[in-house]
Amino acid sequence: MKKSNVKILAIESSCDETAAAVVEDGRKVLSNVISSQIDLHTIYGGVVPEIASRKHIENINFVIKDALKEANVTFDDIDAIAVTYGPGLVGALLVGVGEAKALAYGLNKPLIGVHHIKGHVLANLIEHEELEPPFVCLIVSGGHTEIAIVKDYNDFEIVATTRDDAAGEAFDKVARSVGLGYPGGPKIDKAAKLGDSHAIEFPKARVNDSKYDFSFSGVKSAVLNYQNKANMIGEKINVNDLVASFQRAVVEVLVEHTITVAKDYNIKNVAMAGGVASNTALRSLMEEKCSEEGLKLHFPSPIYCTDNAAMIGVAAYFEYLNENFKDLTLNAVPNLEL
Amino acid sequence: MNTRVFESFSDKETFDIAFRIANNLKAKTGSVVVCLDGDLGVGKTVFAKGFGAGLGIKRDIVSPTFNIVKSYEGDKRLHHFDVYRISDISELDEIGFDEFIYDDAIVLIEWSKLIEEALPANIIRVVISKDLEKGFDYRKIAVEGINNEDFGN
Repeated sequence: MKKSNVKILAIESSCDETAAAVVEDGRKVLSNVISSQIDLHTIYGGVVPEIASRKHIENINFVIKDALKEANVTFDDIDAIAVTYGPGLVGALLVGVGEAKALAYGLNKPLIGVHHIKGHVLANLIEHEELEPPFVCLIVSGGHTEIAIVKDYNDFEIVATTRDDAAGEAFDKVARSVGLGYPGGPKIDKAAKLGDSHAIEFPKARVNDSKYDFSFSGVKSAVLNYQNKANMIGEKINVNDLVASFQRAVVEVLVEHTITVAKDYNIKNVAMAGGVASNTALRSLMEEKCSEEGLKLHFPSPIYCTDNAAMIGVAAYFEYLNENFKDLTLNAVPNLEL
Repeated sequence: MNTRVFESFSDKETFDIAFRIANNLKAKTGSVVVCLDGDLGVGKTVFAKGFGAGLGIKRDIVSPTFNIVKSYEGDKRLHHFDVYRISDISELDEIGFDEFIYDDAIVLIEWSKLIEEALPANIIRVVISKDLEKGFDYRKIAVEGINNEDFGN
């Protein structure tokens, strides 16, 4: 089995995005195509439903074709087919898994199943050649909030998780309640820049019985209660101050717990992953605290923070090196554990 | 069908009320569909946590919003839905909604009002609401569709 010039075609369809990428040797992205970036209306006309797995079925062949074309390769140049098989929405995952199995069978190539979160974490390798395990990674997105210790490329330990909502979900819900709209993360990020983050003191997103775990439901409810109270006494709310204060309550705990894990486990490299890792307040506080503690911080560009297939191709390379291949019984696992 | 109203003045009380309801439902055979509705921040998460604990589920019940459904094994299986992200009823077919609601399990559905036409005939409805005149932490929990003897008191 060759170890270099390994080209993997990776497929990701665990949620709303249909994506395909070609990645060489786990760090070099030859192409990275995400369906939402293609003008679907010019291909089909009409409105595309948000969650439907039908959308993935309609997209997937176009996306794979584009990924091969952009990488300037054909199926013959591909050494393995990789796919996200969990966690995620079952109907959505099944489209990618079915496609990958068909390609692996038809082209007689090895099939690799990848854990979605592992992909997000290892996305950090794409732009940081020097980054090697061990490192601590904070994973924050619409569906996940975790701190992982990456002991080796294939050996992860989750040391912190959320007890209720994901961080990105709390951003979405608060944004909705103050009328900022969707997606909540970027909207709050922008509005918060115009507000005073110390205007209101909200409860911190931590829990009493764990040093590392998170809870976002309480701070979300506190924001909603604050609005209720203000409405009742007819007080006008400064939305910018409100969301800036909320964001601070969330971001401070994310940073604090990540740093605590790094110190407790004596690990010098810290990374971030997932859509919320693009939040500018989170990035700047994490940078500040890491530099205070002598830790080196890494985070991917926004395109590798969002759901994408390049990250799946990265993670798949390390499975390839271990010859950890799946057979055609591979199934989607919506609650896949790491 | 009678409606029973509970009053809660704290998260702890909401948790306990949900625990008790679930604990009395878990002996039922076949599928039991429980709809859970109420505004954002009213305490649906706390209710779901108490409900899961009442079914003997050891794991944390976490928000299903992103994945739409999360399943747990306990004394009786729980499928926990949040259909907020469903924009068209046909999307339910694609996630195999019928297979979940006719499973030998308790199915807890948040934001059920959005999928009213897809719900089966026999359902239990839980509606949590605030009444600010009774205080910020006050919650009215109205439960419709459960016989009194099912509460075990």
